[in-house]
Amino acid sequence: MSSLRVRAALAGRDVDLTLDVAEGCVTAIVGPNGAGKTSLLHLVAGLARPTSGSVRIADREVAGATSVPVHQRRVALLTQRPALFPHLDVLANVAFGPRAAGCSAAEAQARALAELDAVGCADLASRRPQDLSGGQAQRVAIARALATDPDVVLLDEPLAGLDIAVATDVRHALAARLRGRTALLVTHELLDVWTIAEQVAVLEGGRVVESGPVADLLARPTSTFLGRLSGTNLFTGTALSDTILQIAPGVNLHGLPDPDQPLAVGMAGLASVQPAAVAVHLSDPGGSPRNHLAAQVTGIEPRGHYVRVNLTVAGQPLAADLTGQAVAELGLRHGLAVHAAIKATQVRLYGR
Amino acid sequence: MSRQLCAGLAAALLLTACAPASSGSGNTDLVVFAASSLNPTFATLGKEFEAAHPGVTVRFSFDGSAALVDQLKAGAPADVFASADKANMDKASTAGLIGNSPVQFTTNALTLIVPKGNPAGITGLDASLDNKLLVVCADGVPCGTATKKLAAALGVTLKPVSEETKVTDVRTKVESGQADAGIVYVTDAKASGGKVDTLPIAGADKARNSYLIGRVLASKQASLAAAFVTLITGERGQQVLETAGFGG
Amino acid sequence: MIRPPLPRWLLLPVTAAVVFLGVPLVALLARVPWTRLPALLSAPAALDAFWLSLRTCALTTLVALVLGLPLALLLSRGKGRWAAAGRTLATVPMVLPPVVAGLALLVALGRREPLGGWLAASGVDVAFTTTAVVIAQTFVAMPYLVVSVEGALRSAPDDYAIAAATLGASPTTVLRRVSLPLVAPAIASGAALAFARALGEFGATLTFAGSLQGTTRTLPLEIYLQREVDTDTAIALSVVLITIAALLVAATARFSRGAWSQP
Repeated sequence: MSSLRVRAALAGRDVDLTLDVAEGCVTAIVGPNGAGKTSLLHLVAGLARPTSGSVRIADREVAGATSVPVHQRRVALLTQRPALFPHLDVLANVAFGPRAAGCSAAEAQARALAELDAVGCADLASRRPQDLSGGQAQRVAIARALATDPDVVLLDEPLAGLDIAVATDVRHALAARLRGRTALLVTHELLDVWTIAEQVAVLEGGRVVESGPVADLLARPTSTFLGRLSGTNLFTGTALSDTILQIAPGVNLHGLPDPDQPLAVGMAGLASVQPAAVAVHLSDPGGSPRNHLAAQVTGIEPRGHYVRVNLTVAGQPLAADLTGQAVAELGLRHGLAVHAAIKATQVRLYGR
Repeated sequence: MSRQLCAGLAAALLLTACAPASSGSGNTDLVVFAASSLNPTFATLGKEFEAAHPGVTVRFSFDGSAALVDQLKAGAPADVFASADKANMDKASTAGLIGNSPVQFTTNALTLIVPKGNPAGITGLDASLDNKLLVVCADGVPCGTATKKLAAALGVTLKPVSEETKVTDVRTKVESGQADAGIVYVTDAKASGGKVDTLPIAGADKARNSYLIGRVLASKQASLAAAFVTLITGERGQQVLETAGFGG
Repeated sequence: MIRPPLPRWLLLPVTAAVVFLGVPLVALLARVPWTRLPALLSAPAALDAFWLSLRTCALTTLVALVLGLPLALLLSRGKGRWAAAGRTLATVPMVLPPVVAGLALLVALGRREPLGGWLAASGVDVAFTTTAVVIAQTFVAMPYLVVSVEGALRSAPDDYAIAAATLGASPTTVLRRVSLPLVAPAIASGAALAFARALGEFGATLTFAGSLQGTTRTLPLEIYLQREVDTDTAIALSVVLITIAALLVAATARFSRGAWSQP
C-alpha cells in the first residue's frame, strides 16, 4: 500500500488541489457538484494531466515532470457503472487484470476466485455480466479492481445506482475489502463516510477546504458543505468571548465552548446547532433561551414526520425542524419574519 | 385486406404499362438492331435514309450480336437486324425471327494494332509478341471467334493477357498504352485513327466475318425495312462501308 | 403494450416495393434452365470463374481487414477537420460508379503513369494480373468495412477501455482483448458486406485488370461474356451469384442482431 501526494492544478477547470493520503488509509472525498472531486480522481488515475504541480504515489512521481500512462500507474478505478466486459464471463473479468500483468491463466484464475470469494460472489464465476443484478455486478467490479493489487483504489460514487438494501450489502463488502488499502472514495452519502472511510476531505470550488479524521470533522465541521452533509447548522463569526460568537454586527450567538477546540477571543470561530434545537416564534419570545434571533423564512420542506423550515439569520442559513402541526398553527410561509430561539446549551462553539 | 392487395397490384401494373411512348410527333419509327461494330457507319446511313424518307425516324440499337438475338427472341420490337457473323443470324433464322432470306452485305477482317509509336516493337503475329501484353476479343463473341479461327488458320499460338467481351475494350486498352498490342477489326483500327499504329496481318482474309442483314418477321414496317436493306446493300451503302474499312 | 397501428394505405406502396424488387429476381429464377444447370455450372470456364472469385474476394476481405480496421479505429477517435476529411476519403469509393473507380486505378497504376511505370520498371507487374483484381476489389469494398466498424466503435461507451487501462492493460492489450472483441459483430458484418461487394465488383476489374479465364475473369466478368455467347450459362451463373449474395446478407443480418447488450 502506498501513500498518495497530490499537489496538482488543472487550470482549465479551475482546480488546484493539495491532498495527502497516508498509506493504507481510506479517505472520503465530499463536496458540492462541480467542486472538482472527479477531477481529483482523474488526476490520480492518469485520465487528466495536471497543468502544473505533481501527483506522487509511494514517492514515485506519476504526473508532473514525468508522466506515467494510465495502465502503468497501478491505480484501480471503480465508478457507478461497473463496466464489466460483456464478452467475458465473471471469472475472466476478474482475472483480466492479473492476465494483463503477465500471470499465467491458472494463476490469474486462482487469484480471481480468491477475490470473488472475498466479496461473496464465488458462485457467480461462470455467469455473464448481463445476467448479474446491480449489486452483484458492483461486487464483481470490486473484486476485479482488487485482483490487480493496486497501489491506490479510486471510487466514484460506487453505490449511487443501487437500491438501498443492496447498497447496504455492497457498502459492507467495500468496507471490509478496502480496510488497509490506500483509497479515495467520492461520495454524497454520510453513511459511506462513517462506514468505509477513516479520513474525509471536503472539496469546494476546486480546492480542498478541510480534511481530517472522520469523527473529528463531522463533530466539528468547518465547511458549510460538511455541516449540511452531517445535518448540522453552522455559523461562522468572530469570538467575542469563549462563550459568545459574533456572527454579524449586533448579532451574537451564546453557546458552550468545545473543550477540545476552544474559541480564541478575537479569532474566527464556528457555532454548530442541530436543527431540532431551533424553536420558531412569531414574535420575540423572551424566556430562558439566550439566543433570540430575528429571522426570515426562506423555505419549507415537508419531510415525513417533521418539516424542515429554512431560515436566514443575519445573512447565514439556519435550518429548523418543526412538526407539521406547529408549522400550520404558526401559519409559516415563505418571506415571513419570525424569531428563532435557541438555548445556549444547544450551541457548540469552537475555534477554526 | 385483399382488396388493398389487388389495388396495389393493379397500381404496379399500371405503372409498368405507362412506359413512355416511343413515337415522336406522329413520325414513323424504323427500329434497326445492329452489331456494335456497325456504329457509326449505320448511323450515317440512317441519317441519309431519314432524309430520303421524310417522316421516318430511324432508331438504332447497337449491341453484341448475341445480345440482340436474345432481345429479338424475347419479343423486342425491331424492323431490321444486322449481325456481325453468320452464326448469330442463323440463330435468329432458326428461331423464325427473320423474314425472307437474310443477305450478306459486307465482311470485316482482323488486324493488329499497337499503341502509337509501337513502344514494344511488335512486328506482327510472330515471336515479337512473346512476353508482351497482347489483348484480343474473347472466343464466343464474333470478333473473338474470328480471331481464334485466324490464329488456327495461320498456325500461330496466341497468348493474350486479356480476352475482352467487347472489341471496343480491346481498342481502348491499346490506345491508352495499357496493352502492347491488340487484335481488332479493320474498321476499329480506322476508327482509332492516329492513336494507334496498324500492322496488317498477312492472311487475315482467311478469317473474315460475314455480316448479314435481314428484315425482322414481326416488323410492321415491311416495305420501309426492305427499303433500308436495299440502301445498305446498294451502291451508297457499300461505299460508306468500304470507306470505314469493311469489305475489301 | 400494443403499438398504435400503421395506416392501412401503406400497403399500397409496400406491395409496389415488393413487386419492384421481387419481380426481376423471380423472373430470373424462372428462366433458369434447371435441367442443364449442373452441366453449365461444371463447365471449366464457369468453375474457374467461381474459384477465382472466391479466392480474390477472400483475399480482398483480408486486406480490407488489415488496412481497414486501423483506419476505422483512428477515425472513431477523431474529431475535427482531419477526421472528417479521412472519413470522406474512406467513403468516396462507395459512391463512385465502378467504371470511375477503374479509371482512377488505371490512371494511378497504369503502365504509362509515373507510379505504375516505376512499379513496372522495378519488375512489379500489376496490369492484367490477379493482383490487379484484388486491388480493384479492395478499393471498392474496403469502405464498407470501415464504415461498419467505425460506426460501432463510435457508439461503444468509453467505460470499457478506461476500465481495462486502469486494470493494467497496455493500449495494444485493450485493443486486442476489449475494444475489438466488443465490436466483433460489426467487424463480421462489415467483412461480409465487403466480401459481397468484392464479389459483385465488375466495372473497376474490367477496366483495370482485364479479363482472362482463371487469372482475372471473375464471376461477374464471366457472366458479362456469356451474355454474348450463351444466355443460359449467363443466367445459371447469375443464380450462383444471387445465392451467394443472399447468404452473405443473411449472415450479416444475423451478426448485427447478436450485438452485445449492456450489463
